[in-house]
Amino acid sequence: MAPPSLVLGAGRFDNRQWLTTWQRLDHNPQVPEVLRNLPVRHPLIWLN
Amino acid sequence: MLKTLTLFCCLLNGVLATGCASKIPVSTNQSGPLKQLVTRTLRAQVLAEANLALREAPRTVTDSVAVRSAGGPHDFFSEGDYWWPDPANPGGPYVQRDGQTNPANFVAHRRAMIRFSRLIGALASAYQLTHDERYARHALLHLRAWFLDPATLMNPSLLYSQAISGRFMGRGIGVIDTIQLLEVAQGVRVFEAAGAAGFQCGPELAAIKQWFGSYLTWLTTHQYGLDEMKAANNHGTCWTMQVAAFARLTGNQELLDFCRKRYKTVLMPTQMALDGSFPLETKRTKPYGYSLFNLDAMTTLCAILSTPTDDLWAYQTPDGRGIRRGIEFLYPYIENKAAWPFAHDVM
Repeated sequence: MAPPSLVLGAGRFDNRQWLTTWQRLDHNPQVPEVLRNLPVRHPLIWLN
Repeated sequence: MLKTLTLFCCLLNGVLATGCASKIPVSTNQSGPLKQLVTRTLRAQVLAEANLALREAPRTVTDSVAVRSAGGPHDFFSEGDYWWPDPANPGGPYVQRDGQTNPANFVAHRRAMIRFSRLIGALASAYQLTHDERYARHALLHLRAWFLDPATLMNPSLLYSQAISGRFMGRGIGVIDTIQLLEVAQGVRVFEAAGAAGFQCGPELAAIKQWFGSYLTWLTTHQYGLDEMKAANNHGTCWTMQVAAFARLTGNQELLDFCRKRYKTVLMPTQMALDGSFPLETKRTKPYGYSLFNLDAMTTLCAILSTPTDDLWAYQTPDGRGIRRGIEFLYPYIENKAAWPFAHDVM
């Protein structure tokens, strides 16, 4: 699962490593408990 | 390139103002490098998801009757995840097995709300990318069903969430179930800011905001809401995250200030250890999953609440605890889960 903390944090703290890791993780999780505990599933709507 | 990311992200939080009276500022930097990279990663998936969403009809709490609920058809109902019948007392109060989900629980309302959340998130993302009004119109269909249509709406309260058979009709701990409305509230802001038809100043947008305003009142005055506010772990974080997101949608500055203060004086100092870990999560039965969940919620709080004059991203306790340390702590284990030094999550 690609955690929103990495993509949001990568932007704010200029961390390319966090962003690269975020990019290669799963952006479409289907496990119900993972989905339930994922407050931000669509990072694009939080980025502007 | 990375230097420009900072500039871009400083703009993120101030971009979407609320309210109809003032012109909503539009970022001049929407094609900034971070956004470009994230768009490149997600574009195809988001459009595919949104195109599927266009075929989905609304389903709300009124589509599934919860026979064990003490509430009515418009009341959201769920049951405590980790509570089971007591083998020593069949038919008696349920007993807890932390981390083990009872498959016989009623989950239809929660599923419907997660579905709603995913649909709005996808449709709002796709609208941002394309400005195709079909996405906005379809989102409005779902928003009407959940918040406006008297036949299908959900009451703006959570009196019957995470009930426990034989013990509680509802609990404050159940307030966490509406984190699923976070991307719904944010989606509404995105449609409004992007100028989508049907999301401009008008009775429907006002009524949607009024629903969130009513729910905010419930969250901040009912005992269940107050109990959840005071929860020491991820539940307290998620109460604040919800109040922050809904307050930003409705333009409630007083509550936004309250949430900023709570992040700085309660959440960060009482939940994070010096090394950036969250001990209240690492001691439970799903230490990895809940550490990440809490970090995601704290990070989202920084994204929602930071302003140019009050930057929660930069906030640190006097001994250096802050969101950056939290991400730095977990990053190696996100990169390589096998290196996780705490107990492994029960399945």
